[in-house]
Amino acid sequence: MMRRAWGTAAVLVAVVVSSSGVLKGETGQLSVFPEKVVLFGQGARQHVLVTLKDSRGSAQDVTTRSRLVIDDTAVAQAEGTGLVRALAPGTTRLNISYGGIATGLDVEVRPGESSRQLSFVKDIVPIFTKFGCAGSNCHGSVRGKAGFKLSLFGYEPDLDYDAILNAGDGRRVNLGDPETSLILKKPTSQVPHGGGKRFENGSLPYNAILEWLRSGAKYDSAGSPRLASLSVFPEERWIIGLQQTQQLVAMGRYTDASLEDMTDKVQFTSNDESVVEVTRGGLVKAIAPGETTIMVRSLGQAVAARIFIVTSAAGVDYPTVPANNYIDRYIFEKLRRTNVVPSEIASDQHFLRRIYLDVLGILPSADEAATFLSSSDPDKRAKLIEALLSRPERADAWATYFADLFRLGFNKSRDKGAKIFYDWIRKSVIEDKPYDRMVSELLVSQGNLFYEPTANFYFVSRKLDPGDVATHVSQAFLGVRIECARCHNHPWEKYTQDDFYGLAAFFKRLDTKFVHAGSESNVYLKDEGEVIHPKTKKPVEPKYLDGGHEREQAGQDIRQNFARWLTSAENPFFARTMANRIWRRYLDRGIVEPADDFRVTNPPSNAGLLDALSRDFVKHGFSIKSLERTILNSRAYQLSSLPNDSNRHDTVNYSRYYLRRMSAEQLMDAIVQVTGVEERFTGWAPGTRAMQIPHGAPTYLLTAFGRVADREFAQERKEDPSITQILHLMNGDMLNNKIQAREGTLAKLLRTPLIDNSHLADQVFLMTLARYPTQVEKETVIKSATGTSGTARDHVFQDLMWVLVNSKEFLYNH
Amino acid sequence: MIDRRAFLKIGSLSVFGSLAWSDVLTLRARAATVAPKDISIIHILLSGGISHIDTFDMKPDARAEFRGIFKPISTNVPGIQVCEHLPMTARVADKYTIIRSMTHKNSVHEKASYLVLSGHEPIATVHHPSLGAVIAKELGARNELPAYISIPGMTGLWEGSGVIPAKFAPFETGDPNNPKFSVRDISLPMNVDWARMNGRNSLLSLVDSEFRRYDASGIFETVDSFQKTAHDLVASPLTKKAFAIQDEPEKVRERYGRTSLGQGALLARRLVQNGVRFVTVSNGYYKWDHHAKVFENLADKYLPELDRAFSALIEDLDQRGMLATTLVVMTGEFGRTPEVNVNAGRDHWPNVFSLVLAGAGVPGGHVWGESDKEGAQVKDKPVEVADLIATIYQKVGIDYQKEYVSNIGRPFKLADGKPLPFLS
Repeated sequence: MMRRAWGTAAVLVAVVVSSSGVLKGETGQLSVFPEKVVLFGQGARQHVLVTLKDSRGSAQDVTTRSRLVIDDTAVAQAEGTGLVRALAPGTTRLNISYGGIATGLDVEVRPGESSRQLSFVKDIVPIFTKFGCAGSNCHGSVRGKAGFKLSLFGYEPDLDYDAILNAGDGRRVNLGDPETSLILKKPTSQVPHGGGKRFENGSLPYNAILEWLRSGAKYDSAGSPRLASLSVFPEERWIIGLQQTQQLVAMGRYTDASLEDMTDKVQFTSNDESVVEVTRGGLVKAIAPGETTIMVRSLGQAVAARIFIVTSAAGVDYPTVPANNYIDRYIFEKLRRTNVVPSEIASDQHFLRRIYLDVLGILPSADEAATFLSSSDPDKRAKLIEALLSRPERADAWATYFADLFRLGFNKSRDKGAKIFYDWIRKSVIEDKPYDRMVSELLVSQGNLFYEPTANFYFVSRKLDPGDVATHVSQAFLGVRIECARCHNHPWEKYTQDDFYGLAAFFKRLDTKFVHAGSESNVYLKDEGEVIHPKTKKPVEPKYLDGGHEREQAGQDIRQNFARWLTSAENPFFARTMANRIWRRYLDRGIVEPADDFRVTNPPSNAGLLDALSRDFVKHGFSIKSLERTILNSRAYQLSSLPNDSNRHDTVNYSRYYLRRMSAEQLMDAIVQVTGVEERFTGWAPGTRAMQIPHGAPTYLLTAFGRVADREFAQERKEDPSITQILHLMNGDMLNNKIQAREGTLAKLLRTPLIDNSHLADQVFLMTLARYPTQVEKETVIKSATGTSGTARDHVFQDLMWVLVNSKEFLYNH
Repeated sequence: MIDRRAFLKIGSLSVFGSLAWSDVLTLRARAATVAPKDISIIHILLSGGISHIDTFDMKPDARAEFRGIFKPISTNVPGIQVCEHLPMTARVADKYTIIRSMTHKNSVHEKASYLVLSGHEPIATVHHPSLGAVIAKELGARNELPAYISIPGMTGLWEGSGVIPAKFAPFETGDPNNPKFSVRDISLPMNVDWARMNGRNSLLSLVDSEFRRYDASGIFETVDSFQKTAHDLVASPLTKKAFAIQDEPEKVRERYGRTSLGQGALLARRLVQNGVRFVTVSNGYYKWDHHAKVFENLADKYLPELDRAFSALIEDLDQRGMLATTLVVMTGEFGRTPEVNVNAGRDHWPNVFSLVLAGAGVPGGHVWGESDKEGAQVKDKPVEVADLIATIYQKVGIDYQKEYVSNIGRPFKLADGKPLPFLS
């Protein structure tokens, strides 16, 4: 969510902005966080942040450049870093001034416990997260390390207490002589430690552990407060100028409603250190323009701060970019904010080839290309989009997309099931069946895999393990990688094993059985089933993600309840996940990326756009075609792929069309299309395109270019190049034979009476690249062809066709 | 998707954002023990799961319905016996180690194969790269030939690259026993000679040059470098030589056996000789999965072929002085049930199975571990697959504890086990 700060901030005086974006001279408005400081007990601390907002809403952390003065220095003390420390009970005021503007906040110090005991949960456990001890590659791993096991990122303090105090015959602590305790000597490297020195002797964490040991190493009493939620301020910050820094403040709210500054306790991690670095104390430093997330983590909770780095704000010379619809408004507003100028609109020839490939998975024919390019109808693009959305090839392309998502044909002996499932999907797409209805039908399915298309949806593991089904449903429809929580609580998200097994419990009665030879099976509901929690060893009740429990009544199929919950317009996951997928299919990158990895610590790159797309999707009855139409008609989708100096490094904000390699099926079908020689796929009728094959990879090119023959494991297609691919196009008999074939398109063209070389060259370019040759290209070809006849002339044009099919312009959709 | 810094980067070198000096020292110390050695690997995958009781772990004293109908024979190492249908293999027992106590819990082909080739159980959050792919990535190719080759081709995705780039997936050769064997796509196509190919490449440069401006991510440069590698592969005499199995003397081809497995083993030797780091050989996907008529299949065809191929390979490597620098691993993805089923076959059995290792410092004439009297459970010294994989990485000089990250940021170590001391 983007703060529209400039709309609401009151500007006190005019602003002068230097070229580096730093505010000089008369300044804007100061705001402080928190608005009021309340501290409990002597020694309690609170980081204060002073933010300067200018007339355009740019915010800057000026804490360390402000003058901070406490009225009553007996009550509290303020440091230049913004840290306020409690000295004695009372109230006072912290006066803040920067560049002629003044503000302030109240400071109240309340009495704490007379001797403030260190809390194991609040003070000690976070140390092990912050200093890396409880990370997944050390003591927090599933098996611990060197015999010492801590809970991953501190989500189970009671286990941690046991591990420290009791495990290994209590050898880790020495209450009689605390400084000799291993729990102190190891992380300070006073004895050999595989993890090295994590903090210094005498440092804050060292002293905290020591003090805790000295006071008896007690566990918090039953009912003592636990961390209820973690928050970070600011949640989002645009930093203008690479020399700027921003301090983050982490606040913890405990189960007793108390608030505590946890900045010194949490672990801060930058998701992309090439853009932003963050210190152990939460100071963010800009490295390069871009955007990323800072993960803030402690006691099993994680939140995120989104940081955007811009070298300088967009000035008066930033162009006004027209908008075709709401999508453009969100995209271009974000680009303006990052001071990145979008590319121009794509040329007709690029748009033409792109839209055919993206919507239909095929190339335009030479005639279709020529017609479109020569038309002067100002609405020709919108009309073409409409025409393509109604073509049957669109259904094949979507069916192949869903085949990957739903893992059609899992366990290859189910080819028959894959075929009828594919046909059902295809039919649903042609009817533009509302997606909520489509998914509901899948969720309540059962029956014979060979005769009941939708039953195949559940067949993603041999024994229909409910955990495997939960993983599948979560990834496909919730956009959440819940499987991390199968074995341990999620490292970066709030999901726990309770959530995983609670979701699995919706599918506890599902099972499969052979009914006939040849792998014919039924997916059916047993009379009873249960899912056992691996820790509690008790059966788990079905539980909605981020929601409550649901108990299955007798005679009821609880999957129906699940389907209703999932596909409701209010469900926070369903519409967003699919809207993000549809977006990603055309723009090549999800607003949340990866598309099945929605989490607090992986926020959308444009939250406003994602929300708008979801609302649009719901509003139009979950019609996929309607959302496609809106996306394709946006200017953002139709931008050229040619980068300009401003947007060359953008990879997340859609400043241009991102190049993408043709998929394996698109490539296979394109080769057939341009050569006019079909590829016979074993077991399929002549004329079948690769995009129409539900399952398997019945030809070498398909596997070489990334189609997965057997969807045994859920995985993304790979688009990266390999020697095998290049060799196949370069030397492969398949391509060369098709190009040279007597019955092929090229041979027929060459045999056309009176056809001249110029026209021939045009045709070959139009067929492959949907454009006419440039002057240089045409001249080169003509030069080779002039004076040749018969076989020699044939060779010239065969070579041309080979060249164009091997060109990057052919292979990379632009 | 365009090539970009898409991986979740959690800190530069470690989750903690910096390396303590003691961390540096630890890494240095570990590096010293994994100094690169120039070992190549031939991995013979008996896909489908070879029966251990009928081959390398005979149980002549078990009940009739368990021990099967084969008899054990002595090998050239006192105290070690193998199946009567492996006579040639018996004569080179002084060159290999048999592990009789391999064990895991996966009785499904795909999961077991995945485990045996990567050392990891398949989980939803990571698709692990196979041994060969990791070796290709960590050590790279020695020359124009690919680092990782699969003969005749992958038996499944478990031989592939998983989450690491596709370029580390194996190069596939096709079946070298085919009389018309020629590796696909590495020779110029019909009717196209080098003159014509050069002309094509020249025009291709022209067409590509205009379009180059459209690439912001550098992917075109990557493709160019692949094209250069591909070109070198095709143009290099080494390529033709390495794959030219027809250049082998007739009697050598006969000695290995005119079978897919035999010619595959021979081609593997040739490829390793010419610098390839990792070669898998199989005679096809799930061919050893003898749920029915196991004795007939093994006696009539499978064991004679295996016997000939494996013994030939060992002798050949030995005579050429290649055994010290070539690790030979031979295994199925699991063993087979100790009790013969109603179809005179055996079914899947991961609880205990056998694996054979030779070369690269592996002790010869050795048996490690023991199964119980009917070959059903491990009796002594169980060996986890993860430990075997760690051993193999260590042998070729790769840090088996090195961490990769999956595409959703889930870290994993190359091997979750530890090297087996008796194999080092």
